[in-house]
Amino acid sequence: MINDAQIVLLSLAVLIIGVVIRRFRQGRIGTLAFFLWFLLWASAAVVILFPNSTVVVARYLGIGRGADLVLYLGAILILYLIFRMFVRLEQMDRNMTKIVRTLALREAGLSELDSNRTIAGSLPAENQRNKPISPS
Amino acid sequence: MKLAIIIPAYNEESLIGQVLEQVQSVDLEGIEKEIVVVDDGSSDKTKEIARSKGAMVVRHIVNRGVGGAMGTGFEAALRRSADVIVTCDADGQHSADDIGRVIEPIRLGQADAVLGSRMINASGMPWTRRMANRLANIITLLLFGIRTTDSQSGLRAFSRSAAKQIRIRANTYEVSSEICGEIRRHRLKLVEVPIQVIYTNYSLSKGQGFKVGLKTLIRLILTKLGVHS
Repeated sequence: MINDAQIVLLSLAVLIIGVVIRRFRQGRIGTLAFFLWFLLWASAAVVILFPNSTVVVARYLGIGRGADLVLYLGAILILYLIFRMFVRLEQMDRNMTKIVRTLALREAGLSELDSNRTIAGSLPAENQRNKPISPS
Repeated sequence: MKLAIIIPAYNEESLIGQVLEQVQSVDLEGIEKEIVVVDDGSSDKTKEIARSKGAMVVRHIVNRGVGGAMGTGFEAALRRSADVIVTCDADGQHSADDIGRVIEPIRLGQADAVLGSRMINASGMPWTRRMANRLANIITLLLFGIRTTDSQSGLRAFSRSAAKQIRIRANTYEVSSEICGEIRRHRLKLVEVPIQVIYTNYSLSKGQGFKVGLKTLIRLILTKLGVHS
């Protein structure tokens, strides 16, 4: 009943599920991310074991073949992940600018601690508590 | 009255000295002038030349783009307690004499923000640039709801209180439209002043080409969608 391709793909899915569980236990991914990834690979395992199960869903959605449905879903998922990565990169870019800016102003002798001006949300008293890192 | 002139510069060693000399020599009565060059991680002698011309230099350790440099310049100028802040390109496309013209409406209390517009008197501008600037104005209008004759101009002036309100998040060229958006968001009083533009092969090579312009557009849409930290 089970062919070689199924064995290879199934072990791959099981391996990835193992990695997902480990990452979750180590606290490297959140609960929501864990559920989503687990759900994704668990359903992949089900589809690998019972390829015909996709046909039911595909017919319901008006798509002819089960394999097509899997492909479409895969494409949507990849596009979403690329978008998320793009946004994440943009955020990192902006955070990096903040760091570079702070360093540049500090080097020019214009750090917050030297001036009377306080940025929104930080009280002068707080500023005094945060001692500047003295160059060693 | 203290005026801070922000000049973001990235590998501009060939012209920055000349630009700084011109800006230094402008005589503005009753105004204390300070030039703040933001060296955006240049690998050439930009920083040394700027220092030798008496400018204050704030240096990014890595290149962040003109928007990042502009934000640093604003912060530096505010911390140097400037009353009026002018931004100016480092590529020599502006005439230093126009600095006096862009700060005038702020001195007179007629404006919070001034845009030096190269498009009011656009003779001498290559037509491709003119079209590109028109397109940028339309995009800025669509995304930020503010109509300007030259949204991408590098010569602008702000009062201290206006500069404090403007938040720059953009890292690259989208900063020009973002500043226009901020002027609109805070309902700052905007005045446009016609300025000269000096196009040389050098300043043309430093501007935005088609590919960079397209990237700028994508970033602007993302900014508009609220995709930021």
